[in-house]
Amino acid sequence: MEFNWTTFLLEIINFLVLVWILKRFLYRPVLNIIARRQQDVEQLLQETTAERQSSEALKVRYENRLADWEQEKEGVRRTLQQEMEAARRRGLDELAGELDDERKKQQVLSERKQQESEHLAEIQALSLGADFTARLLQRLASPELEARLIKVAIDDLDTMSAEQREVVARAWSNGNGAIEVTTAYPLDQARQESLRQALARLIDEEVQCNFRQDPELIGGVRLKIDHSVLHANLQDELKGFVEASRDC
Amino acid sequence: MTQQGLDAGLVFSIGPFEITETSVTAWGLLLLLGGLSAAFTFHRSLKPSLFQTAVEGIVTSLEEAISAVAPQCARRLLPFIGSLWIFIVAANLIGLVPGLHSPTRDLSITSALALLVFFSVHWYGIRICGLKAYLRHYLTPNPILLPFHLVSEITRTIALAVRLFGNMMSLEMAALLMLLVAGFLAPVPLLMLHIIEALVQAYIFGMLALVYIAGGIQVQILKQEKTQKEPS
Repeated sequence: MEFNWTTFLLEIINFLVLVWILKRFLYRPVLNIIARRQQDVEQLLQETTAERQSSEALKVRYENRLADWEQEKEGVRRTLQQEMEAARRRGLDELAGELDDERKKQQVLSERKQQESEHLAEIQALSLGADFTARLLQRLASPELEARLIKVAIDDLDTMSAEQREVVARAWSNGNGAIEVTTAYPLDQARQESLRQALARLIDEEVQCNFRQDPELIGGVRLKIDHSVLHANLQDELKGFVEASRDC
Repeated sequence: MTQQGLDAGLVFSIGPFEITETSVTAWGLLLLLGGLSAAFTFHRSLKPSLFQTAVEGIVTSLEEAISAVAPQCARRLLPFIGSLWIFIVAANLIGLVPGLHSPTRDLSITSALALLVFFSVHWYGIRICGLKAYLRHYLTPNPILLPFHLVSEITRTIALAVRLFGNMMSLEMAALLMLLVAGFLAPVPLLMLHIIEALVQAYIFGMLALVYIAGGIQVQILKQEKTQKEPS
Protein backbone atom coordinates (compact mmCIF):
# COMPACT_ATOMS: atom_id res chain seq x y z
CA MET A 1 0.00 0.00 0.00
CA GLU A 2 1.72 3.12 -1.23
CA PHE A 3 0.86 6.64 -0.24
CA ASN A 4 -0.51 8.46 -3.27
CA TRP A 5 -0.31 12.25 -3.14
CA THR A 6 -2.83 12.68 -5.93
CA THR A 7 -5.37 10.58 -4.10
CA PHE A 8 -4.54 12.50 -0.93
CA LEU A 9 -5.12 15.90 -2.54
CA LEU A 10 -8.19 14.76 -4.44
CA GLU A 11 -9.66 13.37 -1.23
CA ILE A 12 -9.15 16.67 0.53
CA ILE A 13 -10.96 18.43 -2.30
CA ASN A 14 -13.53 15.67 -2.44
CA PHE A 15 -14.32 15.93 1.24
CA LEU A 16 -14.51 19.71 1.26
CA VAL A 17 -16.88 19.59 -1.69
CA LEU A 18 -18.88 16.93 0.11
CA VAL A 19 -19.09 19.12 3.21
CA TRP A 20 -20.32 22.01 1.07
CA ILE A 21 -22.86 19.89 -0.78
CA LEU A 22 -24.22 18.27 2.34
CA LYS A 23 -24.36 21.59 4.13
CA ARG A 24 -26.15 23.16 1.17
CA PHE A 25 -28.48 20.31 0.25
CA LEU A 26 -28.88 18.27 3.41
CA TYR A 27 -28.23 19.87 6.77
CA ARG A 28 -29.61 23.30 6.07
CA PRO A 29 -32.83 22.11 4.35
CA VAL A 30 -33.41 19.45 6.99
CA LEU A 31 -32.84 21.85 9.87
CA ASN A 32 -34.93 24.51 8.17
CA ILE A 33 -37.80 22.17 7.54
CA ILE A 34 -37.64 20.84 11.09
CA ALA A 35 -37.58 24.40 12.41
CA ARG A 36 -40.52 25.30 10.19
CA ARG A 37 -42.42 22.25 11.30
CA GLN A 38 -41.62 23.04 14.91
CA GLN A 39 -42.75 26.60 14.32
CA ASP A 40 -45.97 25.35 12.74
CA VAL A 41 -46.50 22.99 15.65
CA GLU A 42 -45.87 25.79 18.14
CA GLN A 43 -48.16 28.09 16.19
CA LEU A 44 -50.79 25.36 16.08
CA LEU A 45 -50.27 24.81 19.77
CA GLN A 46 -50.63 28.51 20.44
CA GLU A 47 -53.73 28.65 18.28
CA THR A 48 -55.11 25.60 20.01
CA THR A 49 -54.31 27.11 23.39
CA ALA A 50 -55.90 30.38 22.33
CA GLU A 51 -58.94 28.53 20.99
CA ARG A 52 -59.14 26.50 24.16
CA GLN A 53 -58.95 29.67 26.24
CA SER A 54 -61.54 31.24 23.99
CA SER A 55 -63.71 28.13 24.32
CA GLU A 56 -63.25 28.21 28.09
CA ALA A 57 -64.23 31.87 28.12
CA LEU A 58 -67.21 31.12 25.90
CA LYS A 59 -68.15 28.22 28.13
CA VAL A 60 -67.95 30.41 31.22
CA ARG A 61 -69.96 33.10 29.46
CA TYR A 62 -72.49 30.57 28.31
CA GLU A 63 -72.79 29.13 31.79
CA ASN A 64 -73.17 32.63 33.24
CA ARG A 65 -75.80 33.40 30.64
CA LEU A 66 -77.57 30.15 31.43
CA ALA A 67 -77.47 31.03 35.11
CA ASP A 68 -78.81 34.50 34.30
CA TRP A 69 -81.54 32.98 32.17
CA GLU A 70 -82.41 30.58 34.95
CA GLN A 71 -82.54 33.45 37.43
CA GLU A 72 -84.56 35.56 35.04
CA LYS A 73 -86.86 32.64 34.31
CA GLU A 74 -87.27 32.01 38.02
CA GLY A 75 -88.07 35.69 38.57
CA VAL A 76 -90.54 35.78 35.69
CA ARG A 77 -92.14 32.56 36.90
CA ARG A 78 -92.43 33.95 40.40
CA THR A 79 -93.92 37.20 39.06
CA LEU A 80 -96.31 35.21 36.89
CA GLN A 81 -97.32 33.07 39.83
CA GLN A 82 -97.91 36.19 41.91
CA GLU A 83 -99.93 37.78 39.11
CA MET A 84 -101.89 34.58 38.62
CA GLU A 85 -102.50 34.35 42.35
CA ALA A 86 -103.60 38.00 42.43
CA ALA A 87 -105.82 37.48 39.37
CA ARG A 88 -107.30 34.34 40.91
CA ARG A 89 -107.92 36.13 44.18
CA ARG A 90 -109.42 39.09 42.33
CA GLY A 91 -111.55 36.74 40.25
CA LEU A 92 -112.68 34.92 43.36
CA ASP A 93 -113.47 38.22 45.05
CA GLU A 94 -115.40 39.42 42.00
CA LEU A 95 -117.18 36.09 41.81
CA ALA A 96 -117.96 36.23 45.49
CA GLY A 97 -119.20 39.81 45.05
CA GLU A 98 -121.31 38.81 42.06
CA LEU A 99 -122.66 35.84 43.96
CA ASP A 100 -123.44 38.10 46.91
CA ASP A 101 -125.17 40.63 44.62
CA GLU A 102 -127.02 37.81 42.90
CA ARG A 103 -128.01 36.38 46.24
CA LYS A 104 -129.22 39.80 47.42
CA LYS A 105 -131.02 40.30 44.12
CA GLN A 106 -132.63 36.90 44.44
CA GLN A 107 -133.53 37.72 48.00
CA VAL A 108 -135.05 41.04 46.94
CA LEU A 109 -136.84 39.32 44.06
CA SER A 110 -138.18 36.59 46.29
CA GLU A 111 -139.23 39.20 48.86
CA ARG A 112 -140.90 41.22 46.14
CA LYS A 113 -142.55 38.11 44.76
CA GLN A 114 -143.71 37.24 48.22
CA GLN A 115 -144.99 40.77 48.71
CA GLU A 116 -146.68 40.67 45.33
CA SER A 117 -148.23 37.32 46.07
CA GLU A 118 -149.30 38.58 49.48
CA HIS A 119 -150.65 41.75 47.90
CA LEU A 120 -152.38 39.70 45.22
CA ALA A 121 -153.81 37.42 47.89
CA GLU A 122 -154.88 40.49 49.81
CA ILE A 123 -156.50 41.99 46.73
CA GLN A 124 -158.17 38.69 45.95
CA ALA A 125 -159.31 38.47 49.57
CA LEU A 126 -160.58 42.04 49.43
CA SER A 127 -162.28 41.38 46.11
CA LEU A 128 -163.84 38.30 47.54
CA GLY A 129 -164.75 40.25 50.63
CA ALA A 130 -166.17 43.07 48.50
CA ASP A 131 -168.14 40.60 46.39
CA PHE A 132 -169.33 38.86 49.49
CA THR A 133 -170.24 42.18 51.10
CA ALA A 134 -171.91 43.35 47.89
CA ARG A 135 -173.96 40.21 47.71
CA LEU A 136 -174.77 40.47 51.40
CA LEU A 137 -175.66 44.15 51.07
CA GLN A 138 -177.73 43.43 48.01
CA ARG A 139 -179.74 41.13 50.17
CA LEU A 140 -179.87 43.60 53.02
CA ALA A 141 -180.47 46.66 50.86
CA SER A 142 -183.81 48.39 51.17
CA PRO A 143 -185.36 51.82 50.59
CA GLU A 144 -184.86 52.57 54.28
CA LEU A 145 -181.19 51.94 54.04
CA GLU A 146 -181.03 54.13 51.02
CA ALA A 147 -182.95 56.83 52.84
CA ARG A 148 -180.33 56.68 55.61
CA LEU A 149 -177.59 56.86 53.12
CA ILE A 150 -179.15 59.85 51.39
CA LYS A 151 -179.39 61.52 54.75
CA VAL A 152 -175.67 60.81 55.34
CA ALA A 153 -174.95 62.22 51.86
CA ILE A 154 -176.90 65.40 52.65
CA ASP A 155 -174.97 65.72 55.92
CA ASP A 156 -171.69 65.26 54.08
CA LEU A 157 -172.64 67.90 51.51
CA ASP A 158 -173.39 70.34 54.29
CA THR A 159 -170.11 69.65 56.08
CA MET A 160 -167.83 69.98 53.04
CA SER A 161 -164.73 72.15 53.33
CA ALA A 162 -164.27 75.37 51.44
CA GLU A 163 -161.87 73.83 48.90
CA GLN A 164 -164.29 71.00 48.17
CA ARG A 165 -167.09 73.44 47.75
CA GLU A 166 -164.98 75.50 45.30
CA VAL A 167 -164.18 72.38 43.25
CA VAL A 168 -167.86 71.44 43.08
CA ALA A 169 -168.78 75.05 42.15
CA ARG A 170 -166.20 75.06 39.34
CA ALA A 171 -167.58 71.75 38.05
CA TRP A 172 -171.09 73.15 38.16
CA SER A 173 -170.06 76.27 36.24
CA ASN A 174 -168.38 74.13 33.56
CA GLY A 175 -171.28 71.68 33.38
CA ASN A 176 -174.49 71.64 31.35
CA GLY A 177 -176.65 73.22 34.12
CA ALA A 178 -178.03 69.95 35.53
CA ILE A 179 -176.86 67.50 38.12
CA GLU A 180 -177.33 63.83 37.41
CA VAL A 181 -178.66 62.08 40.57
CA THR A 182 -178.60 58.26 40.44
CA THR A 183 -180.22 56.10 43.16
CA ALA A 184 -180.83 52.37 43.57
CA TYR A 185 -184.51 52.84 44.48
CA PRO A 186 -186.88 55.44 43.25
CA LEU A 187 -186.84 58.60 45.35
CA ASP A 188 -189.96 60.20 46.63
CA GLN A 189 -190.54 63.90 46.14
CA ALA A 190 -189.48 64.92 49.62
CA ARG A 191 -186.07 63.25 49.36
CA GLN A 192 -185.56 64.64 45.87
CA GLU A 193 -186.32 68.11 47.25
CA SER A 194 -184.08 67.75 50.26
CA LEU A 195 -181.27 66.61 47.99
CA ARG A 196 -181.80 69.51 45.58
CA GLN A 197 -181.78 71.93 48.50
CA ALA A 198 -178.62 70.42 49.91
CA LEU A 199 -176.94 70.77 46.52
CA ALA A 200 -178.25 74.35 46.21
CA ARG A 201 -176.69 75.12 49.57
CA LEU A 202 -173.45 73.59 48.42
CA ILE A 203 -173.24 75.49 45.17
CA ASP A 204 -174.98 78.47 46.56
CA GLU A 205 -177.53 78.80 43.74
CA GLU A 206 -180.61 77.00 42.43
CA VAL A 207 -179.84 73.75 40.69
CA GLN A 208 -181.66 71.38 38.40
CA CYS A 209 -181.44 67.64 39.03
CA ASN A 210 -182.05 64.76 36.72
CA PHE A 211 -183.04 61.73 38.81
CA ARG A 212 -182.17 58.25 37.54
CA GLN A 213 -182.47 54.80 39.00
CA ASP A 214 -179.69 52.19 38.93
CA PRO A 215 -180.07 49.00 41.03
CA GLU A 216 -176.37 48.33 40.66
CA LEU A 217 -175.74 50.95 43.32
CA ILE A 218 -177.32 48.55 45.91
CA GLY A 219 -178.16 51.47 48.07
CA GLY A 220 -177.39 55.21 48.30
CA VAL A 221 -176.95 58.01 45.81
CA ARG A 222 -174.42 59.11 43.09
CA LEU A 223 -174.21 62.77 42.15
CA LYS A 224 -172.55 63.67 38.86
CA ILE A 225 -171.72 67.34 38.32
CA ASP A 226 -170.08 67.65 34.92
CA HIS A 227 -167.09 65.33 35.23
CA SER A 228 -166.99 65.34 39.03
CA VAL A 229 -168.82 62.56 40.82
CA LEU A 230 -170.00 62.64 44.45
CA HIS A 231 -171.08 59.27 45.68
CA ALA A 232 -172.69 57.99 48.80
CA ASN A 233 -173.79 54.54 47.68
CA LEU A 234 -172.73 51.03 48.71
CA GLN A 235 -171.40 49.89 45.32
CA ASP A 236 -169.05 52.83 44.87
CA GLU A 237 -167.95 52.59 48.50
CA LEU A 238 -167.10 48.90 48.09
CA LYS A 239 -165.38 49.59 44.78
CA GLY A 240 -163.46 52.41 46.34
CA PHE A 241 -162.50 50.18 49.24
CA VAL A 242 -161.12 47.53 46.86
CA GLU A 243 -159.31 50.07 44.62
CA ALA A 244 -157.81 51.82 47.63
CA SER A 245 -156.37 48.54 48.87
CA ARG A 246 -155.10 47.81 45.30
CA ASP A 247 -153.36 51.24 45.13
CA CYS A 248 -151.47 50.67 48.31
CA MET B 1 -3.63 -11.59 -5.34
CA THR B 2 -2.54 -9.40 -2.50
CA GLN B 3 -1.42 -6.81 -4.95
CA GLN B 4 -4.82 -6.86 -6.64
CA GLY B 5 -6.84 -6.91 -3.45
CA LEU B 6 -5.06 -4.36 -1.36
CA ASP B 7 -3.57 -1.99 -3.88
CA ALA B 8 -5.35 1.22 -4.67
CA GLY B 9 -5.29 0.26 -8.31
CA LEU B 10 -4.33 2.88 -10.91
CA VAL B 11 -7.16 3.77 -13.24
CA PHE B 12 -5.51 6.41 -15.39
CA SER B 13 -2.82 9.10 -15.22
CA ILE B 14 -2.83 12.75 -16.21
CA GLY B 15 0.83 13.68 -16.29
CA PRO B 16 2.22 13.22 -12.84
CA PHE B 17 -1.26 12.80 -11.34
CA GLU B 18 -2.30 9.21 -10.94
CA ILE B 19 -6.00 8.70 -10.60
CA THR B 20 -6.51 5.58 -8.53
CA GLU B 21 -9.53 3.36 -8.08
CA THR B 22 -9.90 4.73 -4.52
CA SER B 23 -10.24 8.26 -5.83
CA VAL B 24 -12.80 7.20 -8.37
CA THR B 25 -14.81 5.41 -5.65
CA ALA B 26 -14.59 8.43 -3.34
CA TRP B 27 -15.80 10.79 -6.08
CA GLY B 28 -18.50 8.30 -6.94
CA LEU B 29 -19.59 8.38 -3.31
CA LEU B 30 -19.55 12.16 -3.49
CA LEU B 31 -21.88 12.03 -6.49
CA LEU B 32 -24.11 9.46 -4.80
CA LEU B 33 -24.41 11.40 -1.53
CA GLY B 34 -24.77 14.72 -3.36
CA GLY B 35 -27.47 13.22 -5.58
CA LEU B 36 -29.37 11.85 -2.60
CA SER B 37 -29.11 15.21 -0.83
CA ALA B 38 -30.29 17.05 -3.93
CA ALA B 39 -33.15 14.56 -4.29
CA PHE B 40 -34.08 15.19 -0.71
CA THR B 41 -33.91 18.98 -1.14
CA PHE B 42 -36.13 18.95 -4.22
CA HIS B 43 -38.69 16.59 -2.74
CA ARG B 44 -38.90 17.85 0.80
CA SER B 45 -42.22 18.90 2.22
CA LEU B 46 -43.78 19.69 5.58
CA LYS B 47 -45.56 16.33 5.48
CA PRO B 48 -42.55 14.04 5.25
CA SER B 49 -42.35 10.84 3.21
CA LEU B 50 -40.65 7.71 4.51
CA PHE B 51 -37.34 8.72 2.88
CA GLN B 52 -37.56 12.25 4.25
CA THR B 53 -38.39 10.94 7.70
CA ALA B 54 -35.31 8.68 7.61
CA VAL B 55 -33.08 11.53 6.44
CA GLU B 56 -34.45 13.89 9.07
CA GLY B 57 -33.92 11.19 11.69
CA ILE B 58 -30.29 10.74 10.64
CA VAL B 59 -29.56 14.48 10.69
CA THR B 60 -31.32 14.95 14.02
CA SER B 61 -29.37 12.05 15.52
CA LEU B 62 -26.11 13.52 14.26
CA GLU B 63 -26.94 16.89 15.77
CA GLU B 64 -27.90 15.33 19.08
CA ALA B 65 -24.67 13.32 19.18
CA ILE B 66 -22.68 16.47 18.59
CA SER B 67 -24.76 18.37 21.16
CA ALA B 68 -23.85 15.76 23.76
CA VAL B 69 -20.18 16.72 23.41
CA ALA B 70 -20.26 20.39 22.38
CA PRO B 71 -23.76 21.77 23.06
CA GLN B 72 -22.89 25.40 22.29
CA CYS B 73 -21.41 24.72 18.85
CA ALA B 74 -23.51 21.78 17.64
CA ARG B 75 -25.09 23.65 14.74
CA ARG B 76 -21.69 24.98 13.63
CA LEU B 77 -19.93 21.64 13.87
CA LEU B 78 -22.70 19.63 12.25
CA PRO B 79 -21.60 20.05 8.60
CA PHE B 80 -18.04 18.90 9.21
CA ILE B 81 -18.56 16.13 11.78
CA GLY B 82 -21.79 14.94 10.16
CA SER B 83 -20.11 14.76 6.76
CA LEU B 84 -17.25 12.79 8.29
CA TRP B 85 -19.65 10.23 9.74
CA ILE B 86 -21.74 9.95 6.61
CA PHE B 87 -18.75 9.73 4.27
CA ILE B 88 -16.83 7.22 6.36
CA VAL B 89 -19.89 5.00 6.90
CA ALA B 90 -20.64 5.07 3.20
CA ALA B 91 -16.99 4.53 2.30
CA ASN B 92 -16.63 1.65 4.74
CA LEU B 93 -19.83 -0.10 3.65
CA ILE B 94 -19.24 0.27 -0.05
CA GLY B 95 -16.55 -2.39 0.27
CA LEU B 96 -19.36 -4.92 0.68
CA VAL B 97 -20.50 -4.29 -2.88
CA PRO B 98 -18.85 -6.87 -5.09
CA GLY B 99 -16.21 -5.37 -7.33
CA LEU B 100 -15.79 -2.25 -5.19
CA HIS B 101 -13.34 -1.55 -2.40
CA SER B 102 -13.65 0.70 0.61
CA PRO B 103 -11.77 3.95 -0.03
CA THR B 104 -10.91 4.01 3.70
CA ARG B 105 -8.58 1.03 3.31
CA ASP B 106 -6.33 3.50 1.47
CA LEU B 107 -3.92 5.39 3.72
CA SER B 108 -4.00 8.35 1.34
CA ILE B 109 -7.76 8.79 2.00
CA THR B 110 -7.58 8.36 5.77
CA SER B 111 -4.55 10.66 5.90
CA ALA B 112 -6.45 13.31 3.98
CA LEU B 113 -9.37 13.03 6.37
CA ALA B 114 -7.06 13.12 9.39
CA LEU B 115 -5.30 16.16 8.02
CA LEU B 116 -8.63 17.87 7.53
CA VAL B 117 -9.52 17.03 11.12
CA PHE B 118 -6.13 18.44 12.23
CA PHE B 119 -6.78 21.72 10.47
CA SER B 120 -10.44 21.85 11.46
CA VAL B 121 -9.45 21.68 15.13
CA HIS B 122 -7.42 24.87 14.71
CA TRP B 123 -9.96 26.43 12.35
CA TYR B 124 -12.89 26.01 14.74
CA GLY B 125 -10.72 26.80 17.76
CA ILE B 126 -9.61 30.12 16.33
CA ARG B 127 -13.05 30.96 14.89
CA ILE B 128 -14.84 30.31 18.15
CA CYS B 129 -12.29 31.32 20.80
CA GLY B 130 -10.14 33.82 18.92
CA LEU B 131 -6.50 33.35 17.95
CA LYS B 132 -4.98 34.55 21.23
CA ALA B 133 -7.24 32.54 23.49
CA TYR B 134 -6.83 29.48 21.33
CA LEU B 135 -3.05 29.65 21.29
CA ARG B 136 -3.01 30.28 25.01
CA HIS B 137 -4.56 26.89 25.68
CA TYR B 138 -1.29 25.29 24.52
CA LEU B 139 0.40 26.97 27.47
CA THR B 140 -2.13 25.81 30.05
CA PRO B 141 -1.95 24.56 32.67
CA ASN B 142 1.83 25.06 32.35
CA PRO B 143 3.98 26.30 29.43
CA ILE B 144 6.23 23.28 30.03
CA LEU B 145 3.48 21.17 28.53
CA LEU B 146 3.67 22.97 25.15
CA PRO B 147 5.91 20.33 23.50
CA PHE B 148 3.65 17.60 24.71
CA HIS B 149 0.67 19.45 23.26
CA LEU B 150 2.42 19.75 19.91
CA VAL B 151 3.51 16.10 19.87
CA SER B 152 -0.02 15.12 20.87
CA GLU B 153 -1.47 17.13 17.97
CA ILE B 154 0.72 15.31 15.47
CA THR B 155 0.51 11.83 16.91
CA ARG B 156 -3.24 11.84 17.38
CA THR B 157 -3.66 12.92 13.77
CA ILE B 158 -1.43 10.11 12.59
CA ALA B 159 -3.20 7.70 14.91
CA LEU B 160 -6.53 8.83 13.51
CA ALA B 161 -5.43 8.12 9.95
CA VAL B 162 -3.69 4.85 10.70
CA ARG B 163 -6.45 3.50 12.95
CA LEU B 164 -9.12 3.77 10.26
CA PHE B 165 -6.80 2.62 7.53
CA GLY B 166 -5.51 -0.32 9.57
CA ASN B 167 -8.89 -1.55 10.64
CA MET B 168 -10.49 -1.38 7.24
CA MET B 169 -7.49 -2.81 5.43
CA SER B 170 -7.16 -5.65 7.94
CA LEU B 171 -10.83 -6.49 7.52
CA GLU B 172 -10.54 -6.70 3.77
CA MET B 173 -7.31 -8.66 4.07
CA ALA B 174 -8.91 -11.07 6.52
CA ALA B 175 -11.81 -11.54 4.14
CA LEU B 176 -9.38 -12.21 1.30
CA LEU B 177 -7.43 -14.69 3.39
CA MET B 178 -10.60 -16.50 4.40
CA LEU B 179 -11.61 -16.65 0.78
CA LEU B 180 -8.20 -18.13 -0.12
CA VAL B 181 -8.11 -20.63 2.72
CA ALA B 182 -11.77 -21.66 3.15
CA GLY B 183 -13.22 -20.95 -0.27
CA PHE B 184 -16.47 -19.42 -1.60
CA LEU B 185 -19.05 -18.06 0.93
CA ALA B 186 -16.75 -18.78 3.86
CA PRO B 187 -16.00 -15.06 4.53
CA VAL B 188 -19.74 -14.22 4.87
CA PRO B 189 -19.66 -14.11 8.72
CA LEU B 190 -16.59 -11.94 8.44
CA LEU B 191 -18.47 -9.64 6.11
CA MET B 192 -21.18 -9.34 8.77
CA LEU B 193 -18.44 -8.28 11.13
CA HIS B 194 -17.39 -5.84 8.42
CA ILE B 195 -20.71 -4.01 8.71
CA ILE B 196 -20.33 -3.59 12.48
CA GLU B 197 -16.74 -2.62 12.14
CA ALA B 198 -17.57 -0.10 9.43
CA LEU B 199 -20.11 1.61 11.65
CA VAL B 200 -17.89 1.45 14.74
CA GLN B 201 -14.86 2.85 12.93
CA ALA B 202 -16.87 5.65 11.39
CA TYR B 203 -18.28 6.51 14.79
CA ILE B 204 -14.83 6.41 16.42
CA PHE B 205 -13.27 8.58 13.73
CA GLY B 206 -16.05 11.17 13.83
CA MET B 207 -16.30 11.14 17.62
CA LEU B 208 -12.52 11.56 18.01
CA ALA B 209 -12.58 14.44 15.57
CA LEU B 210 -15.44 15.96 17.56
CA VAL B 211 -13.59 15.47 20.83
CA TYR B 212 -10.45 17.09 19.40
CA ILE B 213 -12.42 20.07 18.12
CA ALA B 214 -14.35 20.33 21.38
CA GLY B 215 -11.01 20.21 23.23
CA GLY B 216 -9.82 23.14 21.13
CA ILE B 217 -12.89 25.26 21.92
CA GLN B 218 -13.10 24.18 25.53
CA VAL B 219 -11.48 27.40 26.69
CA GLN B 220 -14.29 29.40 25.21
CA ILE B 221 -16.94 27.06 26.64
CA LEU B 222 -15.43 27.32 30.12
CA LYS B 223 -15.31 31.09 29.83
CA GLN B 224 -18.98 31.19 28.80
CA GLU B 225 -19.97 28.95 31.69
CA LYS B 226 -18.00 31.17 34.08
CA THR B 227 -19.70 34.29 32.69
CA GLN B 228 -23.10 32.67 33.10
CA LYS B 229 -22.38 31.69 36.70
CA GLU B 230 -21.00 35.07 37.80
CA PRO B 231 -24.23 37.13 37.56
CA SER B 232 -26.09 34.58 39.64
